[in-house]
Amino acid sequence: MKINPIMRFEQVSYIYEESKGCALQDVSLMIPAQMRTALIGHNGSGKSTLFLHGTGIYKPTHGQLFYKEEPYRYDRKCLRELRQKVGLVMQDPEHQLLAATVAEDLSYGLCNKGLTDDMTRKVVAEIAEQFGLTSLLDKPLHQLSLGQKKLVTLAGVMALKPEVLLLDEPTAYLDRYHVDILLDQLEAIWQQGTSIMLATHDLDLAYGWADWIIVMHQGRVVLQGSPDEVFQQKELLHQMKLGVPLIYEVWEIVQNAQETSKRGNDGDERTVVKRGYEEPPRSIEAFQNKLAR
Amino acid sequence: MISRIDSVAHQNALRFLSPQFKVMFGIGMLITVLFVTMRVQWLIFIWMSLWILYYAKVPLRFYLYLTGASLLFFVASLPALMLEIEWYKQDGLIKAVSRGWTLIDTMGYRVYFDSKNAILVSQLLSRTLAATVCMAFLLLTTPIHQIIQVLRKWHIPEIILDLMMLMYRFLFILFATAREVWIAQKMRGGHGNMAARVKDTGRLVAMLFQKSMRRYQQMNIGLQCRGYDGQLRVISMEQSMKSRRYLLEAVCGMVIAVLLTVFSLMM
Repeated sequence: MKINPIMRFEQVSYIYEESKGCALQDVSLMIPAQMRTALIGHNGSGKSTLFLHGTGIYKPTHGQLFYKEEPYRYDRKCLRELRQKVGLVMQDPEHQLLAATVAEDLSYGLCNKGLTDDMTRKVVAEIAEQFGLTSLLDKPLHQLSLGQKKLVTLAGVMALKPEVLLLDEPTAYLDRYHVDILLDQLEAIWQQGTSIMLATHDLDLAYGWADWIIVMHQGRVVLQGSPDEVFQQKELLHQMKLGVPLIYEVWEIVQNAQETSKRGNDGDERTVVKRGYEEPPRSIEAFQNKLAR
Repeated sequence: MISRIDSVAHQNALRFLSPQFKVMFGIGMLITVLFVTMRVQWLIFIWMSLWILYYAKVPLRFYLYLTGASLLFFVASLPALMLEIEWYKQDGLIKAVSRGWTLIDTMGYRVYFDSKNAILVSQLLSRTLAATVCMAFLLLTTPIHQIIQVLRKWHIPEIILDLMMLMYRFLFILFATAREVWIAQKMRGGHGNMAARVKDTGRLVAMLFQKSMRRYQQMNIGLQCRGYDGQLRVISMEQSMKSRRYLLEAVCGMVIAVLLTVFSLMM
């Protein structure tokens, strides 16, 4: 599979002024274009710092970042252009929602972009429609639920139509219903051609959703590849106390059980035909289908 | 109280009336109150109450609570306004005492109520009530973001409006955070007695300050991510309604208030 990176980190290191340790250490990774990437790792593994580098908020102490193979430049004009192309949704929506009402907040990035008032109103109406926020447009932000606030944050970022969308633990503290809504929206965004990178602790979510997975541990990138490639490194993942997705583990148990039952039926180990490696299913539906077969 | 004011401002019956009209009317009446006579001030109080309770359909109980709370400041200043202290015994000689109703008389000192002050207090009460109700009209019928939009049209400096917007936005977060910290303290046996209450309140304030600073740093990052360039430019999607009937009543009311004052001064 040929992977075309839209954003690339090359040996990036970053040290916070207030702490002695390295938040990022020789991080080299790529965010594949028009793919869904999941970034997994423990708290403090450097995921948020990585995202802040991606939007040019932090400048690496060492190393270099590339956007479409062009090195990052940190002058005001370039950063402004970069932030139109790379959108960041922070973990806590309260940090990103600035205006008084939903409509005003959605219009904020568009006004900064220099759109006319009429054009801004048109885009706000469209984006509100897309995210199911039309009925909330005049509502003050402090009266929204957390799920609604997260959607407004996402809509506010997507109003600028970025090419890359970075989401820092978007499903944190959300109930199942709001997680489903959010994932549906992300699916639609991805279908429109936006490259998405999502940081999460939820391995099941990462496994079911992502096309590309990056694992970080103590400021370093430990693994990156397709979900199957990454989760085959079970030993390493267990050493890092990350584990593997539940569906992956259950699939292995089922396969082992099937092999054992075959041995038990004819009682002769030599007749056991080892099946070739079969990629584990990535959703419950796929799991059921494979079992049925 | 603030969140209740905010929700009333977002739900009242005059919500969709032009904010420009409401702001101009509220401020216009507030200025009018400063120049008209006491009787006209009472009339304005009744008329503005009608706007709030009947036209805007603000709940009576909340309206009374809000005006009552504002009047507490007036009540607190009453002793200073109404009472006089006099030292009438000097070097064994008794001076002529002023007229008034004596409340305390001890060691040559006399605390008394001067009837002349009653007039001053009633003048002040009528003015305070009328002005409070004009302000309440503005607060209870116009959400803050609408007021900011109007001020923007009036070319008030952007920095002031940006600060207003951020303060409005983060005021509720601050209250919510304070409440969370307070609950956390209560759940762990805090605020048990007076001394603990003082101590825990101090901790709460210190924690709020720390959290506010952290939030400020994060907000700074959030602003930069969204292309902040020194100005918080936003536009509103609200469609406001213009009403001739309300405009006519407001203009007529203001003219009548001024005419009544002129007439009473001429008499």
